[in-house]
Amino acid sequence: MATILPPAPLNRPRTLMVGTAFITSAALMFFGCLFSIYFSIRSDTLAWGMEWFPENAIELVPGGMNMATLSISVATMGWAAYAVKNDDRIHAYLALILTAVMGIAMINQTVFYYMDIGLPIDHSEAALLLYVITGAHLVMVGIGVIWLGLLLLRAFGGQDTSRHRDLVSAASIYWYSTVFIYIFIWLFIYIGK
Amino acid sequence: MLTTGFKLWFGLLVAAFTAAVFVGYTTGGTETGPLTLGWKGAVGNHIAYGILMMAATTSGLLAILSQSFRDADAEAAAEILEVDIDEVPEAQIFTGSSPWPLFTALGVVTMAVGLVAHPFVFGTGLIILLVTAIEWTMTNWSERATGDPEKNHELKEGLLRPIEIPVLGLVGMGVLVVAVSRILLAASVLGAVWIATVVGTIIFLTAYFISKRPSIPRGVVQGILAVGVLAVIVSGIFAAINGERDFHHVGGEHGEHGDSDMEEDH
Amino acid sequence: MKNESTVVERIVTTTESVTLSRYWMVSALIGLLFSSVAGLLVSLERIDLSSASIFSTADDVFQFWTAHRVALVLIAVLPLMIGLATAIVPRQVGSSRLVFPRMSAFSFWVWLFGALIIIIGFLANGGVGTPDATSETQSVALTLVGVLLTIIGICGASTSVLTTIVAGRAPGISLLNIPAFSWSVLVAGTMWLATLPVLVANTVLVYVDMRGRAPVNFGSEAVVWEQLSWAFTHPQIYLWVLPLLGIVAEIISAAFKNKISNPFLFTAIGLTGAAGFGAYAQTYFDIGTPVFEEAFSIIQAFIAIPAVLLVVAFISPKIKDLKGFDKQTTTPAVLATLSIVLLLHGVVVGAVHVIGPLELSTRSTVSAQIVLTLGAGVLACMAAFSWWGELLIGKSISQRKILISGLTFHFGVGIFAVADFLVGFTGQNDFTGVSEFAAGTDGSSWVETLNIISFIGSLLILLGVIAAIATTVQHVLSKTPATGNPWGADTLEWKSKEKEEVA
Repeated sequence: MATILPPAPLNRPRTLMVGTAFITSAALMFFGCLFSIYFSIRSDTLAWGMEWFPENAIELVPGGMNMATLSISVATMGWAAYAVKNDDRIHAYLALILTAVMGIAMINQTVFYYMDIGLPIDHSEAALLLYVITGAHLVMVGIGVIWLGLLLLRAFGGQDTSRHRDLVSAASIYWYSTVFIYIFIWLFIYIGK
Repeated sequence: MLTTGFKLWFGLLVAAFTAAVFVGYTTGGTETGPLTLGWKGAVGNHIAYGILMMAATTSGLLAILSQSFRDADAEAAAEILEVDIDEVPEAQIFTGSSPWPLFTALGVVTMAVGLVAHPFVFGTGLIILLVTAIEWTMTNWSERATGDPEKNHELKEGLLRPIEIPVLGLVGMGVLVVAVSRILLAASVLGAVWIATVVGTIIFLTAYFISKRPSIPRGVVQGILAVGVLAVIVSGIFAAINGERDFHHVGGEHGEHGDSDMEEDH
Repeated sequence: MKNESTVVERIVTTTESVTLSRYWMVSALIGLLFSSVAGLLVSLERIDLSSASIFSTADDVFQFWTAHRVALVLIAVLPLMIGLATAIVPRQVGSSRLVFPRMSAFSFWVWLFGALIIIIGFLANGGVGTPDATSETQSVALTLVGVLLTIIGICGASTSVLTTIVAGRAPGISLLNIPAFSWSVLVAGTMWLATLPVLVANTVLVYVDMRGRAPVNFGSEAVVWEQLSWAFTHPQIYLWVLPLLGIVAEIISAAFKNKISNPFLFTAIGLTGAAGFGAYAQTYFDIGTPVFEEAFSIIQAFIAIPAVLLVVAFISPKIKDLKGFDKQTTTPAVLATLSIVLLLHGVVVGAVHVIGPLELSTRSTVSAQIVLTLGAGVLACMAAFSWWGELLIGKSISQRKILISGLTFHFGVGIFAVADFLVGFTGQNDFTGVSEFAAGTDGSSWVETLNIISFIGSLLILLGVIAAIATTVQHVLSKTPATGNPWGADTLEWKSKEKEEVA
């Protein structure tokens, strides 16, 4: 005879999202400091009439491709949150997997670019800051991908319904902040150089 | 209505923004620079301006979230869940003790120390971290699987034990084999024979002793095993640090007297 | 289910907030001891500036001088505050446990390992570098890793506490109705999460530049401290002790049976938090900005306004109303009042030392200000232990012993601060090295006397810390059960029963 088990207790909404918002704000401050140092030293270097990055060292295409990849991931992440809210399991899986794949693609492209760039980290302050900022961002994306992977584990275990939407909403706050930071990297490092 | 949380974080936003603009103007910023984030003119000191502006941004983020969540009050939660205010669940169910926080911390610390010490240590930390992340997630999953804690525990055990036990067994055996091989390789030929004989005899006698006394408490047996494993691992580490004994190729360094691969060690 | 776990298993697997709080506070007291010993040795060295006495080089002094400050903030004061908040905040907001109990446990362990690594790094000739770059690069890197780990721990624990305040409140408790301590933790935690990541960014930059090759700029051992020092000086240190305001407000309100209006108090605490934000004051990057220092001085002087407002709010109406004072609360009330007085002095010294023409910004006045402010935080924690001790350790509290420890510590801080403040006017540098030339003084008898007084202050601080540790241990081992609500206080933590199952 089948036993009917009691349903899991309700989750208090917003707790995970509030916690993620605090952690995200901390991550933003971390990058805020790195960018401030970047602008400060760049401005001083240029004021002395010296070169910041060597000519043609920073290519526009890899940064642009990454920006495009992450922009699409914003849509897929939103799709995941929407699908979970509407108890649409198949679309939730698909959207979460796609977002994680976008993240992995971005990491892959950046690592390939590192190998191709030909700018040693000890070349100058500019090179050091370039690697520290983009490297720290890669770590942030990597954490996001792992987070999405763990979410998928829980989703496959049945926790992908509207009762658990905070799990995905919290991950989306983090993911959007990751993309938000990349906008700065793209604008000021890859385009502004 | 503006919530208390919104007022707090919006206040911090205003304070940070005002300070940023003030610093901007007093440190060489142009007329419009500090107000336009440097779009039209200089912002002055980049460090102070940038950090204060980012503080304003994060405060703004928290203010917006706080307002949209209505300070995450229990009353707002009741509306979302469509239950009476008395039925709003606590923010966290009882979770009990858990080893994963400590193991995750060990993973993070191992990674961090590996950054300074050696990439192998870093990699070990990363593996620990990934494993604990999965374990932690599955624990959280199981706690929300049903409303019956016993059943949830069974579900977790049923799912994870068939993976954990073989994996841990393999890892444990691997560590012991590597440690023992380091010890034997570090000792002289005769020494290695003696070590193998003596250690084998000790293991045999201990097992015999334990099997003859079934009433020995579980804790004592666990303690003996723990001490033995620890001794092997520590000896293995020291042996690995000391390095292997000298191996001399038969017939000279590059096999000049023949093609034999035979080695003679001392 | 039968609990078959051993004592060791229970210790390392707990996620219970009060137990974690005890871990934080006991570890922080040991960190405080380490910091106090380092401070004492530096004070001892300063007594005779004509020659090296206990240290052989200026770099050796530098190691201990920086160890004193780094440990005071990251291994002592912040964890003490976190420890208090971990136990008290959930109860005050009507939550039976922390919202993220496992994250809190994880944070503690990461912090603990980080703290140990910092101490090992300093003892292994690392620390945060030295002016003549005689430190071991590998050990400096190790210390920096320790700094990162402790910050991760503090940020994680803060996030758990903050989320409990915001999203874990019981029905009927709005943010405006939470007790003053919880509010001060909310403001402080927000500001810690806004500033500690900045310190992480500085540390990461230094670390990456230091590893495996000649540094480009940031990783040079001679400039590491310059880049990190903003976190250990005015105005940032006010943020580390911000929960002090909540502690004092609650104790004084209950002692005089006269509650301070929440909107006024909360606004003042928020303003103090905003004014204490010091992550922007990174003078290492002071490039091409001629009026930079003056701008900073003006902003930094603003800290005095909310702080003075608070003191007026706390003390003046209460002093007039001495009849309402509950004598039973003497110990916590005295310690709380002394801590706010120390903070006020710290604020005033801080506002004075940034005044350009006085040229005090690199003098011993700085150390007076740091010890006054952070000492105020430690004293407030002692007051808090006296007040909430029964909730923290579940035993009856001996108020007299806490009072003796607190007063010893207070007088130590006071004596040290007065001596260092005055000797700063003679031109003695904050970092004195091992010679009169490096110290910037003529080594006159006046200077020597003040340095001896300063040493006596350091000694009293150390004695106060040892007494506090002994008192804590004695209380933990005591078998006298808690009496319930000894003060008749009306905040929720005294009314809510412990629902949390002991892990």
